[in-house]
Amino acid sequence: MRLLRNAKIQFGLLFFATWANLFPQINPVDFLKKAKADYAVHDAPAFKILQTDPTSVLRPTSSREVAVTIANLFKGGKVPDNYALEISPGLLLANSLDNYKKNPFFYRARISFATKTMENSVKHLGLGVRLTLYDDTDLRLNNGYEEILKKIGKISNDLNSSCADELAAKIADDNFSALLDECMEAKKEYISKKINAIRDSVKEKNWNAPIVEMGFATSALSGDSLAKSLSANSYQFWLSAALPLGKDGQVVAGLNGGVSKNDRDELKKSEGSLGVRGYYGTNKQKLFLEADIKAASEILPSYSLNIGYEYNLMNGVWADISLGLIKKDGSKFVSSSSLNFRFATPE
Amino acid sequence: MAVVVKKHVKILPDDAVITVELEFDTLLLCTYKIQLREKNSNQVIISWFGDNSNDEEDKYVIGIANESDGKTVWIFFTVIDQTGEGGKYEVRALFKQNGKLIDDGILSSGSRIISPGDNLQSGALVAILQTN
Repeated sequence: MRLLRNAKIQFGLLFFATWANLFPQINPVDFLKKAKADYAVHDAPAFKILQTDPTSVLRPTSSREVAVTIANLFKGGKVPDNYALEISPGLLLANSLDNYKKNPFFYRARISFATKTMENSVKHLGLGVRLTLYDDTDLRLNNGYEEILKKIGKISNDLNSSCADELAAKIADDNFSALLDECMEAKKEYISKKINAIRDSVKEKNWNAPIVEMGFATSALSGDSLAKSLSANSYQFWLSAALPLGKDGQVVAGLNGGVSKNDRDELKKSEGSLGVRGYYGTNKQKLFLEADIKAASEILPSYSLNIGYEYNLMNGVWADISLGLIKKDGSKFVSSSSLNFRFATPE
Repeated sequence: MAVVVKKHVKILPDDAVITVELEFDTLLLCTYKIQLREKNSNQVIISWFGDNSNDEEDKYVIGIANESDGKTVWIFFTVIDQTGEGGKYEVRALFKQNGKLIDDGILSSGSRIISPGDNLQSGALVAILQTN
């Protein structure tokens, strides 16, 4: 069995190496920049449009905090230096699961704001919105899953109430709270394991559930710190949709476009990309086939076609290997190959 | 660590009805079990179960004030992190007599956080009903 597996790996590596030499090669990083479409809407479009990756992002978690943060932000009418803020309008609604179920659109919406100070003291401001229009992967809206969790919660409460049977006679004692805490805590691990198991199973089953997201962002430049001479210099949008393809497949499409100012200070420089990717496999490992087209004003469109394999190495760490053909700047198709690692927030 | 809050809730000795209402500030799933127990005993008079998936279903009649002295109300809750991303929560129990909030009649877990990976937190709010 091991021999067979080794043979498969060796064959794969040999095929990868052969493919890489069949066509003229290009730099994979260059390839990604020039021909790859955006398949996902960025978490914070305002940061994306400013091409900034802030180390600290303010995320106020209540309507009061939102008000205080915004008031401090523009204190004295000045635009702050290198600032990043992300808020959810849902926080302005009551913080309840019931309300979330009635208005998931508002809870999932994110507004992002960022500033960046350029070398010549010019302020660059970005404002973005990210909307989830449809999401069957949302575990808070999965009724079947919620019913199972309610049953687990009932088991937990029944176990904890058995502590009351033991301790009711000691209710007047000084150490009553500590004794009840100790008794309840002893039952927690059993329940925690049950929750982990069911959540993992639902995520595995729902890996290819439908989801549609979109994002908008605009950026503006200001010559001074008071933002009196703000001038919009770019607009960008993203649209991303994923649909199941049978039980083990998924189709993901990403559309991205934007317009920005050219050298003559006119909002006429446009660019756009469209990508379609098909997956087959499980949440752990998948084969993919993708086709991208990217176009921009004053340059010829580029095209790419790739086939690859994606593997979840560990929680939050993904590796993918791909082989492909690309055509850009009016040239002939050339081959490309890449090995990438992606890091996401561990679940 | 579980959340345990114990409090004496003072009620007026009259024929008014005592009720308890639960409020939840959270996007997490919270299930609960309420038990009314006899004075100086672990004998359960009545139990109710529920959760926070509907805001309008968490109100219960404990009984007549004159007959409630010394009885205990035990509210066991389990807050479950559905997504694995963690979150904040607060659970409050509001005791009312004849529809009016009783002085010192709010038992609160306080604002608490479940960290990603912790899956759940359990707690108990224990009220000892006491006539003035």
